[in-house]
Amino acid sequence: MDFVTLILNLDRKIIFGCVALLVIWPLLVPIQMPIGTTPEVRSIFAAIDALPNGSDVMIAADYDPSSKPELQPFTYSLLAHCFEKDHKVHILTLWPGGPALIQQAIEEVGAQYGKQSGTDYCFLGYKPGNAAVVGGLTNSITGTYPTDFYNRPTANMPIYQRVQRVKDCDYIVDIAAGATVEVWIAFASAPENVPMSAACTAVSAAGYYPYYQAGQLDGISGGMKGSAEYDVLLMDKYPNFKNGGPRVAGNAVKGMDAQSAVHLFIVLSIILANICYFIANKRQREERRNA
Amino acid sequence: MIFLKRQLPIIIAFVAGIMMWIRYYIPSEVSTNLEDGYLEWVRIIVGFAAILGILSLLQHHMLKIRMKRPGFAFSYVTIAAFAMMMFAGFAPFNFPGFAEKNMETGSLFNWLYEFTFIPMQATMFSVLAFFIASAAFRAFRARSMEATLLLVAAIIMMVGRVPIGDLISNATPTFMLFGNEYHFIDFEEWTGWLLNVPNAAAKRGILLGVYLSQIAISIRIIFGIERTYMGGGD
Repeated sequence: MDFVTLILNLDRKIIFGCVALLVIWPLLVPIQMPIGTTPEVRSIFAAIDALPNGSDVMIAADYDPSSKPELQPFTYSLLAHCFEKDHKVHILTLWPGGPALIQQAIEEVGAQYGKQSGTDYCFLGYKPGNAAVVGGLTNSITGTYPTDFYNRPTANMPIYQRVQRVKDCDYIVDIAAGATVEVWIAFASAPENVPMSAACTAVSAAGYYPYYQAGQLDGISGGMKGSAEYDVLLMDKYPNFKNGGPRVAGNAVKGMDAQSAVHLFIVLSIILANICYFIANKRQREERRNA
Repeated sequence: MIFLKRQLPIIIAFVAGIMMWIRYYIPSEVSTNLEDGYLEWVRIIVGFAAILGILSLLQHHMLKIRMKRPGFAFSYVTIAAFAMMMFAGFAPFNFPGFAEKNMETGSLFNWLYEFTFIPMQATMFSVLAFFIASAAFRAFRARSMEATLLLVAAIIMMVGRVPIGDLISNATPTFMLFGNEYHFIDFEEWTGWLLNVPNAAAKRGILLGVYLSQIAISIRIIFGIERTYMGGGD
């Protein structure tokens, strides 16, 4: 069997093995490739950073464990950025599988900054009904969520003495694995005139560019790369994230080496397979001609 | 019975649809209160839909076990996992070895979520990477002009959206054009163009079509022309 035939009939287990190796190896021995930032992610960072200290940021973490590697690092970094700026965080989820992930993030980051639930942040939990929930928040946050995730009444919380509805918030960020970004734009951000950004999975990021170009989204962070870019921006602006300080950022950066290696492998294997495909086709044509 | 099954849903859809439509154009305290009540109703109904979903799931798996259909053993696992998570979430006491109850951090529910649900769901999604790599190797061929365009765009996106793309771009020579310096290969520039020009143009067209269709279908439902949502054929 010659090389071309061998490649075209390659056992898929070999490809699986290569992918596994390329994922594991960079995680064990990090290459630490420099990560460039894109204008889309820089816009999100700049918008959060430009808010006056103590602003109210509503974060919708609409994802579940299947998107954890791509989106959970962004949640950690965004929370750290908000707390670094002393912003008040209102965090919730429209996905039933999401609450425990948010709980981990908000409790961990909140504890590192010494933030108090009910005063500095409120984890509102999960409620079914997507548009109905977002629409409800535009009328009353405490009316839509009479209790927080921990079953404590929200109406008496210090954080809600100043903020009554979405309009009172200064910024919205939807960290989404599905189609909730459109819901937040249509029912909260656009009608209430609250600026908004979105962090989504890499596969869905392309779908939000019309909203980004129209100015309905300040920025888009796509997948783990977007999360890594946000980490980089955070570490550049606030050097205490690099060493010693609150160590909540950088999870996505660690994954980028593995992602680079696998992407490069897939691209090279596609090119190789196509070259072999054309050689095999040429051979077949020649054989037919000779016959 | 016909009234309850046919006319009543149409009347409810008409009244609710028209009410919410008008409310949007007449913002006042009355209309806001009306919307509040309406949205609360929606959330309650969605809550009941979740219960319906749970009952449907259990019914499906119990039937599978009773009929001993292929793979019925997995239905035992589904029901057992469902019962266990529900019991862990609702039980009004601390399980041995766990400091908290219900869904608090340090509870059995939280432990099960963190050490079973998260890894299992993440694993299911991660497996995709292996299948995509294998499928791309076997099926991604430049057989036609369209396929070639797709292939080139995919390669640019795959390399351009990871740090190695920046490394490759920075390693290529530069040239000057109209006073600006450009790299011969600039993946960041190319991916930005792909996303902002052809992708956004196509997506915008699709979105306009989708939303115009949504408006049309909403009007049809409000005026009782579209009735398939009631489960009938007409």
